[in-house]
Amino acid sequence: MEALSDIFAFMAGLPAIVGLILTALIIFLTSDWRLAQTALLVQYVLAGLALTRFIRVEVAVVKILIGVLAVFILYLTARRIQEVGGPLQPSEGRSRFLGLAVRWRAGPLGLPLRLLAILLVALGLVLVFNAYQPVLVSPDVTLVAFWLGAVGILGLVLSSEPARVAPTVLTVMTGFDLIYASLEPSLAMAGFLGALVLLSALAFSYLATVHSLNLSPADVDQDEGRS
Amino acid sequence: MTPIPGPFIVLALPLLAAGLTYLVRRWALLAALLSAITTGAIALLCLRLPLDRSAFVFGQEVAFGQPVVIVGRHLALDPAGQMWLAFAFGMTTVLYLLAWRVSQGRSFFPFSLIMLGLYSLVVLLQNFPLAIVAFAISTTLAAFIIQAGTGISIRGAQRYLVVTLLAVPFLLTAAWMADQSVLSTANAELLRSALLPAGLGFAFLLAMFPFGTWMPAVAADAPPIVAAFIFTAGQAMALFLAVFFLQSSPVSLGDPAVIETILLAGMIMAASGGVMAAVQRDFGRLLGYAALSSLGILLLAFPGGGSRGIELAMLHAITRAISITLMAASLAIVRHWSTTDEFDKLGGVARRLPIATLGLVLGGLALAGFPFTAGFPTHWAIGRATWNWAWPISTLAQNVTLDAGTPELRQWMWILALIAIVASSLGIIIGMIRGLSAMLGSETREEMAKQPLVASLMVAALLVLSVALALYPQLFFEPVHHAAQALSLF
Repeated sequence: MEALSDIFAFMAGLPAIVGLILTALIIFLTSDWRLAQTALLVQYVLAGLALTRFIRVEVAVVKILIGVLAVFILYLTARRIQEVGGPLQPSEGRSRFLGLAVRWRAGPLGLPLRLLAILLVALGLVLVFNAYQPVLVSPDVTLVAFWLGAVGILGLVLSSEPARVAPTVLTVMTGFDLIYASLEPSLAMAGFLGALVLLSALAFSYLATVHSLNLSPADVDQDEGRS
Repeated sequence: MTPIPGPFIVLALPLLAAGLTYLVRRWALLAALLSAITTGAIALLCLRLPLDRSAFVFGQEVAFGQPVVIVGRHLALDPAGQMWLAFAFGMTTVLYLLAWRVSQGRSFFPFSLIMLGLYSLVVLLQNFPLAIVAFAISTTLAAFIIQAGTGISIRGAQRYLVVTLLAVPFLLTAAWMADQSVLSTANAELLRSALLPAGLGFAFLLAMFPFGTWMPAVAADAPPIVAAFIFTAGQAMALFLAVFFLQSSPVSLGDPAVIETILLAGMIMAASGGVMAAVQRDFGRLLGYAALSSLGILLLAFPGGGSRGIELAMLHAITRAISITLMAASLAIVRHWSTTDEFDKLGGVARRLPIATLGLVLGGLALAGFPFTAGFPTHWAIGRATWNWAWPISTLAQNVTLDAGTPELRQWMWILALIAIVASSLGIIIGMIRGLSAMLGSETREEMAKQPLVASLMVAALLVLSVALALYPQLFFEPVHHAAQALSLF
């Protein structure tokens, strides 16, 4: 039992922080909904793990369960859209990595531009973090929370489809929750924020379904171009 | 007999009615009547019942001000919240009656009633962070009624949802910082720092520049009455949260930084909304930009009105809501009967739908503050107040410039605010003239049905109310005065 507890404590430290950084990166870079939603699922588990350092384990578990439910709602929607031939599948015949076009002329959804953007965000974050020294929350959690927030907002700027906007908004909220949950331990607030996450997932699922009914796969690139 | 506590009524009744209207949503008359009776009754109770003692309603004792504890949370109604709920429920009653004749989607009645229940929760919670999250939860439901089962564009619903969700972290951070500054004198500087996240959060919620793009998008995508619901009741609650924050934290409305932020936001919203309204090609977006511009004028009323700023802003909120409702009701008829609201496809519609056309134009002109419309008295008052602050020989302006640290800058800001008010009015008027000239086109429109009788009568009633408010603006002075007094006791 003690060994299990040690593993749990270890996982809540550096592995969770590194994992959270990677999941946000994947959500930002990929246009494959399966990959994005898997990363979001892992993100909720790792955020819950990291939070066990500051809040009660029971509350952290509830937060993980809420995240899993939110991802499940998004997953069911994406599956349904794909079944009816909606616009979630990237079009064939182009060089792609992580579901994104690799060419420079691929526009705001292309991988090269996204890599450049993420590099700038990372540099900016390091500069800000050096200037601002957190005192109330541990520096590693603050850094990862800021990372999730910055990458999420950047993803929002570059996305227009609800299926892509949903994981980025939820990433921003997870980043905020990492800091806020340790500062505000109220159960009522945890419950309200949990309800907000679930209902947001539901609303985005509804919008994604409606969006898919009006777009054929051929329209997707045009729609993305408008973002 | 145990009296029924007021918080229980304003919270449970809308939720109960939501369940019932969901069951009867296929019968528009039944759903609309049920919804309107519920919200109308709550609005009346909020206006008439005292908070300091019990009263009898249909033989049942009601203690409107009695707090209740639900799941460990203390829920209570205060005088300010009572007035705010009276406004939100009262406005929605009118919208429900209009939605009976021109369908706004079957989900409108049940979902908006749940949203109103959540607005009640926002008021009752007496806790700013929880109130913010409750408001954000209500926005997730707005996505369903904005879309209303149609799927032409999801832009409006998605933008509204995203900006509200993004506001939550900023506002919770601001609330936490303000709380910490009160708890310890060592954290006093946190209070000034809290203004930045608070400003950003409310910029998202109140559609301030450059986060206001969701308003025209919602007006274009949503059924008009739904858009009116969000622009009146929804934005009234966002405004309530802003006042709640200012009243519950040591930051005051008299703080120069707060005044300058509100002034700047108000003038940018008023001017940009007006300019954009002038160049629109459809009435939906025109309504969105006009409402955005009018919200900017409302913000200018806070600093412009001085000690009567809150009263002036609340009076403008009422005339703005009536103008938006008039324009939205008319637009709903035009969209339903001519199947579009694009200027170049509305030729000849004015002859087939004369009352709706008149309502549409007068509603727009009221949002511009045109004489003999509901918006004129408050536009005039806000314009005069701004003129007083900007005019170099005004003793009022001189007093302020002596107190303020940056008199030159402040003086210029008031002059710019005055220009913004003029730009707002001119822009909306130009947009309305363009729309009207398109509707007066020579097409015969034989295929179009004649104007609907009941819906047109409702629009006519709103028209009469709009003109009556222009001639007798003192009609709402007393409730607004009470509400302003209540806010000072917040």
